Amino acid sequence: MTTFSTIQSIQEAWSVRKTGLQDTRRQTIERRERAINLALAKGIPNTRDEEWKYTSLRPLIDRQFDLIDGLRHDGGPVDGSLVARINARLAVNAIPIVFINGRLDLSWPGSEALDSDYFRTLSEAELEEDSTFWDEWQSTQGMDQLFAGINAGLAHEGVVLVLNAEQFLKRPIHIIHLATKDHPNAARINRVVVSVPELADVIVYEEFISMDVLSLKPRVGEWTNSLTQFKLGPKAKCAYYRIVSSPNSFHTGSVTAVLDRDSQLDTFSLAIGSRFARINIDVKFTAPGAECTLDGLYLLQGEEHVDHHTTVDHTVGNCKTNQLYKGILADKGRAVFNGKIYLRKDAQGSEAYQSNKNLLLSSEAEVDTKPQLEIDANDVKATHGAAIGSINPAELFYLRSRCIGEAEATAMLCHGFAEECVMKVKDDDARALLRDRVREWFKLFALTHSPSDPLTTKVIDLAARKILNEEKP
Amino acid sequence: MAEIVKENLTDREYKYGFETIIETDQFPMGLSEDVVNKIADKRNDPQFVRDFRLKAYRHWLTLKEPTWADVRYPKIDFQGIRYYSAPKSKPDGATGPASLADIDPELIETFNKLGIPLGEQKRLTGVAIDVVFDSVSVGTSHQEELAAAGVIFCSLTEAIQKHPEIVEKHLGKIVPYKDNYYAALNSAVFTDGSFVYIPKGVRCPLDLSTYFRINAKETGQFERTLIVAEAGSYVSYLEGCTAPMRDENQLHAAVVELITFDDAEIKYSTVQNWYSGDKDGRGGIYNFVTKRGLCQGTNSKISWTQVESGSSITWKYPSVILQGDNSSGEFYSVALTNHRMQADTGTKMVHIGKNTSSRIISKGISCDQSRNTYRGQVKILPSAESARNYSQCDSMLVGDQCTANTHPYLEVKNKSAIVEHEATTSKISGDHIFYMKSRGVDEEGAVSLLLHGFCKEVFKTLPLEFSIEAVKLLEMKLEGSVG
Repeated sequence: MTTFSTIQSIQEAWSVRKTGLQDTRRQTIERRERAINLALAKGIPNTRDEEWKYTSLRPLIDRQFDLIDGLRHDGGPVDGSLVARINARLAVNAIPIVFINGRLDLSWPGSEALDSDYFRTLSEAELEEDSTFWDEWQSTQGMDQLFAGINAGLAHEGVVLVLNAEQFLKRPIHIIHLATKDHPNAARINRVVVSVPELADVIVYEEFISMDVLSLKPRVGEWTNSLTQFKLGPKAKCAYYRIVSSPNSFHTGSVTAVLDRDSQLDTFSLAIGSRFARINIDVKFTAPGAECTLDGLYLLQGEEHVDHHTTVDHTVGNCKTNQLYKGILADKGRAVFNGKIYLRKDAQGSEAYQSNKNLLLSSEAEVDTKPQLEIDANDVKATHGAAIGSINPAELFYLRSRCIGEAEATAMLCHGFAEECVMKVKDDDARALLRDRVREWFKLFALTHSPSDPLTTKVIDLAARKILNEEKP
Repeated sequence: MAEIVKENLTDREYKYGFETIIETDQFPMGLSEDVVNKIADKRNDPQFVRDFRLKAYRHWLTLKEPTWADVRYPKIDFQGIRYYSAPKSKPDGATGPASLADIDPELIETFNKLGIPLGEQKRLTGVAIDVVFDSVSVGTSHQEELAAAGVIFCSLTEAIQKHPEIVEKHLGKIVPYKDNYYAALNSAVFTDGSFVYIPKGVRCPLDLSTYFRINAKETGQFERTLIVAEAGSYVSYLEGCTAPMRDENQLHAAVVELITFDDAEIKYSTVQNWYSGDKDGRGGIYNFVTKRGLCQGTNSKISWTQVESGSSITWKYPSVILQGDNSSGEFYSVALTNHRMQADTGTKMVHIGKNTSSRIISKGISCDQSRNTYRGQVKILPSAESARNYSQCDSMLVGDQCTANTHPYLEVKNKSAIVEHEATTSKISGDHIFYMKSRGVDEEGAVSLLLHGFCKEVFKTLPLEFSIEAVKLLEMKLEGSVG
């Protein structure tokens, strides 16, 4: 059992990990040590730290976790019904890569379709690639953050996807991080690295789920620390859909992306369940003409806390950022959104649009939002906006005047609110999958709240039932 | 010839940059408990003020300078500042001149130069004026007329002596000395400022105005303003500031406290034009000000309007605490930065009462190599049922070397609240100017038109004479920046 409450305990965890790495190359150990030291240099942040103003690490660092060791899943063949359940969640035609409690299971049905042409495990890549390969990933923006550093130092296994130039992966890659009841206090630390060179194209799903997505028993949550990195070459295209759906779990995720000339990155972050989640997304434009979409949706209930911190750095001109984050908060949910967009001196001709909208369904819910623009260039188009409110009485009245009951009307408005974000997703399959997960949340909400609850609950309950009815045909 | 023309142009940059040579009564540089006591002695402070100063000073010693603002400057040497400087008056008047007739004619001349005639002609414009020169208040006009209405408008020193019960009740209650570093410093060493008391149900017959000027070298100005608006009263208060041009930086750390009771309203307007340093950022005023209003009564209202066009560094967040039900707060701001000025300014709206509303309109114009940051917080507490906020922050960039940042903080803890924030960025480009020139408007006129359009929402809330002054000020500052 380890806590991650002090610098010292993280260093101890590192020395344990270091012993496990004796078989690998010395430069790997040194590189990992540098990464962890860089992140630890700033200490453990507290709420006086501007980046952590609204999110206290208390709930996470007070808890004890088992640091998972061992690279591969060795629990024997996985139960068939589980395989069926998980594979049913996969995106259309996707190739699964499954981690069970942080250990990679390469024998997972479907994973055999992975081609060694572009796919390697982290441990393989660490043996094969020299330091120039890894230094590049380490030098990207955001790697000095505590949780990115912990991951770069302690990650036990991961996925390395390096495409060839002009390679187009017809089948999306669907990475699933599954938590089972066997390791209720696991600290799962996995890294994903995706390199999309010139004219290549790939779609990546990354989903964090726990077995009790649909069971209602509260249990001690595991901690997932993930680091996902993208590097896009000229005219490369990549879509990344990220789903956190593991109630009661702790989640700290870091995403970094570096975009070259005329490349395009679309990201969607869906957070529909976690006791505590902090997601950092850092995007950097390094050459003109690139475009980035950063969308997200968070649906909170119970005492969940979800914090999104996104940073987009326009260091060059003629790039475009489009960002929309929306959230629905029920019960005692608390959401934090901080979106930073930098338009540096040389970013002339850039466009950046940012918007954050929140719907509060309960008086105990709380939203802290901080959209931020920092502009050093004068020939740019930049806007940002934020809105926080409850169900609009005028909209409700409109629907009621058309003979729709109050509860049902509210449900429709909630759905419409979430849908605005989902319908922006260009890829049909991804959109369907995300929509599916949103429905799942509404269903879960209905199941966990008794029908005698006040209006909001009834509303969501009704919404869920409406969906269940729809699904009957 | 060219030299002369150039000189004239430089002069135009800051026409209030002259220094008035008058005899002053100064303390040596430095700050200690002794100096705080001496200031209290000098001002003949009653015990409660002296205690307040000492508590503040001891607390200040435990604090560290805040660093979170987006401004860069060398560390301030607080021992290198003179904490008391006053124009020398007649030997008998230790607390400042008794009437306008007692004031040094040189000083009157200074104010005439600044366009603030203290004498009778002011009656025509209907503005009662209090002037704070370096550290002390030098004269207040229109006393009789105000007294007839029951309004007390005087220097804080006078108020402490004549109306200690009102001052004691409110001093340091809205901005406690523990509030922040500069508020603590101010609480320890404040030397003068204005005091306004509007009794129940009185609508102040005149617009009140204070004029601040830092004159002496190496002095800091630490004034403190307190405005109390009793139930059902109304007052409009204006404040203007200038300082001479100097190569070294001077510190200005003021505190402004406003309080409104049931149905009362305070409208507070500022045109701040402290010396902002030269082209290379040498000299200028560090303007670190804490301004806060408390809407304590139901249906009360506080409205801040500011035109920030000076100071080398501005660090200022006029805020409103909306405690009374149905109370409302407003913040209108135009902040212009040029050369190497840095402004980190905005507001704070704290909603506590039911049906409270706030409105924030902020316009930032940055030119040359300046930094202009809007930082505003809107906080809706769980008790603020049906609170409403609307914020709009627009930035205009002139030139490609400047910076415009927007940092809104929205914290909502009540579901019935509606909070909206919008921000846009634009620029005055050669195209705009060309378009208007092609329609027969000259370049100056074009810039002025664009400015008017950009700042209209804020300027229309200013009292008329200030609104004209503000536009002129901005036009003057922008000269030569656009093209």
